[in-house]
Amino acid sequence: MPTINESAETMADTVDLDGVIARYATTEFDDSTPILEAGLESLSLVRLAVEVATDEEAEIDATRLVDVTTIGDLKTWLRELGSGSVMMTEPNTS
Amino acid sequence: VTAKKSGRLVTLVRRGRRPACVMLPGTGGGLSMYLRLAGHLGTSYNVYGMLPAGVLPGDEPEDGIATMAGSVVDTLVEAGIEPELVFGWSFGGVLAFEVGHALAAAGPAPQLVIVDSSPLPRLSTPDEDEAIKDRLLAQLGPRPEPDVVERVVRTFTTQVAALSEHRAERRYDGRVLVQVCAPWDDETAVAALRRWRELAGDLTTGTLDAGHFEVFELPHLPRLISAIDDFLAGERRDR
Repeated sequence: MPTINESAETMADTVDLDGVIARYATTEFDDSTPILEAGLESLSLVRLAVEVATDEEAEIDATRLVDVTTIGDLKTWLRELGSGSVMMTEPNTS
Repeated sequence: VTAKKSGRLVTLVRRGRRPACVMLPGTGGGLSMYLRLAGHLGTSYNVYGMLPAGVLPGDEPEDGIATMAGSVVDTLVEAGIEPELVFGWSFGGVLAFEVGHALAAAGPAPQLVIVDSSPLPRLSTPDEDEAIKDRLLAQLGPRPEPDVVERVVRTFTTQVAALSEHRAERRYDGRVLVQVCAPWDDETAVAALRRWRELAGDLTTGTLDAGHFEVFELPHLPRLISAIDDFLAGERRDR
């Protein structure tokens, strides 16, 4: 039986994030493309994240999306979401 | 963000078994402006956003605030979520008041936090509606999917129509915080606050220096957070 960390790596590795993102993007993109430039708004991000986050009991902190501005940021966040390793942090409001 | 596969309920913060907070967005259904506040509330609550019917593919908008509130509650019941706190800004605040009533009819009355909403019918003008719609569409970025644009516009149109017809009538016995954005001394805001006072028996009110669309922006958000924290701390003191 895999450990939690091994399971997380497997899940993150098996998701083709570029492929998933491409289904929602309205133009070509690379990791430096701003998400809005790629045609990804919050509703698209919701639908996209549903595809990636398969564990309905995992800890989630979607408020980190505040800091997601590029496709590269998005992929990092989705990898963490897919692995269930998203940490609780309070966004800086000061 | 994760949503149930059925769509509308969006998990913003979840960490084990904790009290639940549901956040109801303004017209158009965008949740992104709530994220920082959700992060703060998420230190104490599991926080969920509720997309309006109509914005997801294959979904149809609903007519009337009562219908919309009923479907919000149905979605929460289906997910097994009994929120202790319901938050709404603008259109979402109007909806939150009715959602609070529906939840209180079947269980404990949730606390309501309502930001810059009116319980009175909204007097809209085509110019104002167009400006709000433009603002919503701008949030979709320079290259939105045409289907998304169509669904957001259609949902916005039904929500605006619902607001123009809705007048909150029933008194709410749970705790309510109403925060009013600047300018809070104009005729519309004064009339709205007067009516909130008639409708909510356990009401806390306050004003915010921010305008309606600026209230979640970084320079202004700490004041809103402080007001909400004080309100929630009062509830804890009363227990």
